[in-house]
Amino acid sequence: MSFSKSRTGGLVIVFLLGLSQGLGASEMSVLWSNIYTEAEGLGQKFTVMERLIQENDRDLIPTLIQAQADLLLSSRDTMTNQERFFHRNLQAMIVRELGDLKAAEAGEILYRTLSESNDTFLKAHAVAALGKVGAVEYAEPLAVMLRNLNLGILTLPTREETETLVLSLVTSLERLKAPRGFEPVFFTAVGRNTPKVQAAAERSLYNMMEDPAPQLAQILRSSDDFQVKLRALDFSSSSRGSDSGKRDVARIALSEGLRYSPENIREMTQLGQLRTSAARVLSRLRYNDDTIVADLVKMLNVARTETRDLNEVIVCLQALGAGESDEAARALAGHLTRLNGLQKSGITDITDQREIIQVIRSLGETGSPLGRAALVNVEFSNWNSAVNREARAALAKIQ
Amino acid sequence: MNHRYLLLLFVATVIMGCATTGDPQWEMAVPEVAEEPVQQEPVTIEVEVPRMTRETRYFRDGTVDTYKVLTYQEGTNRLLKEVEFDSFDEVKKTIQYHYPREDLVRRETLDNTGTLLSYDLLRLNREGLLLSEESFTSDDAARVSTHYRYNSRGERLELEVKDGAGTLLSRIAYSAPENGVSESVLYGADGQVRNRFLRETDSQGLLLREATLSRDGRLEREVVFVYEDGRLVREEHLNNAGGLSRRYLYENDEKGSPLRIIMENSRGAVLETYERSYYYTVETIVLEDD
Repeated sequence: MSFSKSRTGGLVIVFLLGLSQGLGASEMSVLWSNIYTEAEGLGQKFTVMERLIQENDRDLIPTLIQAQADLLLSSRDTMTNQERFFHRNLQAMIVRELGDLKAAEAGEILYRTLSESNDTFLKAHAVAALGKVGAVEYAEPLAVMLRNLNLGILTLPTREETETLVLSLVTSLERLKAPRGFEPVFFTAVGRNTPKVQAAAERSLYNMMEDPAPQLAQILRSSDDFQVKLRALDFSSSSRGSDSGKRDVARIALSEGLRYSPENIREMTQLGQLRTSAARVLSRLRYNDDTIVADLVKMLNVARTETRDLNEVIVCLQALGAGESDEAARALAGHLTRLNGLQKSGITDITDQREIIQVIRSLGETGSPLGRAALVNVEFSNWNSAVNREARAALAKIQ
Repeated sequence: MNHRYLLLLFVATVIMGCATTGDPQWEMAVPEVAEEPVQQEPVTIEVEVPRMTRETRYFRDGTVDTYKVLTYQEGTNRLLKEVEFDSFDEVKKTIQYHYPREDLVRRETLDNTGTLLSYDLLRLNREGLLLSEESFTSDDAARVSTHYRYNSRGERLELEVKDGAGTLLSRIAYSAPENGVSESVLYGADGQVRNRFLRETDSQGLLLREATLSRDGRLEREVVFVYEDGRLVREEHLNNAGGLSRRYLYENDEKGSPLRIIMENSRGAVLETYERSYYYTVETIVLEDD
């Protein structure tokens, strides 16, 4: 039989791939595995390994593990430069392949490679592979390694090596999804790293945990850097976590924002941003927690008397309006009564009507009858017609 | 006309869609194989050939591990490039194909920066069967080569692997099938048997079972292929005690090409998933009796 031309130019490549793959991948795996085992010299082993891994066959995992174990045992001291090149690249190839094959049984040899190798790039391959094979039992040492790199306790000779290892650790910890890994990845995202590393860490954070609230709460409580606290809060708001977790993180952030006395303008601004961001989250999610109301009342006081930031005042009042307890309505009514009194007596400190309008709207938002008396009193406190109109609208919501 | 050869052609064309992951895909976009023709006139058939354009590999939790994009020469079935990306959309590896002659293909492997790492020269006979696969370093030093020999019906008889200096490293000898079972024997460089492989096919030529035996005939592992309407739907890998070590589940398109392949471990937990997309070309083939 002969085989004539096809209309579109022959089936050359079709046969090519068909025959190289089609008559049993396992047969070719066994063939290359045997050749590797019997190969003499690292150069030949390297070449054969390149072919072997093309089989992408999980049946080769034992061969790969044994090959890597043998390479770890062999001493580099007596090797020529070329042998060292093959020794290093052969290991990198094996380690990568074990990762690509998701070889769960390779965790131990991969961790041994990480521990015993002096080559940062090989370490990075081992780290990445540990993540791919799902070796959660090694999440702790990986997290510690990343933490040490973040803190500068562990330093590497070049920036490239540092970046390579950090990226591997970040992606590996993302894969392992171990809670222990969250904090160091977070500090990689907010630390002094290249934009590429920061972006990778940030992406990993989103994928690592369904609800990172407990980890973010811990970071908020333990970090003494206000900017870090703010990033933790921001991350929580945009995470895939539950509303209750986000509410909890915002509550802690608000509390942290009130806990410290700023020592300079920069700190005052940062703490103000932390409180404001927290209050915005609480406005959006609503809450029924009197400790939050108490902190918002403190925030209102700080914003009015210390920072004198009208924006913070407005955000705080909006957050009080999102409170679902009587305590929130009581706090707003108290504040409105106070503003009414000041206006009536002519000694008002209000220079902008946005505050009075917001407190009226927030009180209306609560829908609580506890605000009725203060709202009725607006009409008798010498406010202008716009404010009176707001009060009537709020009263309508309560009724 | 040789039906087995025709069958081999179809199998090969469809396997092409599987590209580099190595899992056999046995659906044949099948024109019906006619009864043994009495006349000697050429038979023209049209075959729909899948061209895999993308393959995405997912971790067990559904997040992307890597993906591969394949491009073909326009208007032909020639694969030009396979580019593998990581989940950050950065290139991991590129494989490029060049076709300097009808009987020669140059396959180049490039690293993530586009630097040539190595290349292979693949030589074909006039029927398009692979004769040899020679591997070279980027600076043209010969590494290993694989050589294939066929009988007049295009059935593989032998495969030899040699090192860069031409020294035999290993060899597989294939025997003709008997009652649907074919055997191949793997020899080491010393000429001693290392392993035997048995393959059982059905009357349509579909591979049903593939067993790997040790040199003394002990079963080392076995793969069982399960089809529905001639399409591969399941592949079970068994250990030497007959226990399941892993399983592949194939979800095929209407033409039988796998759109999704799910790999499970022995306990049924997903290890990883592949998703593929294709386009189809129609190939016209003329088969003639000698």
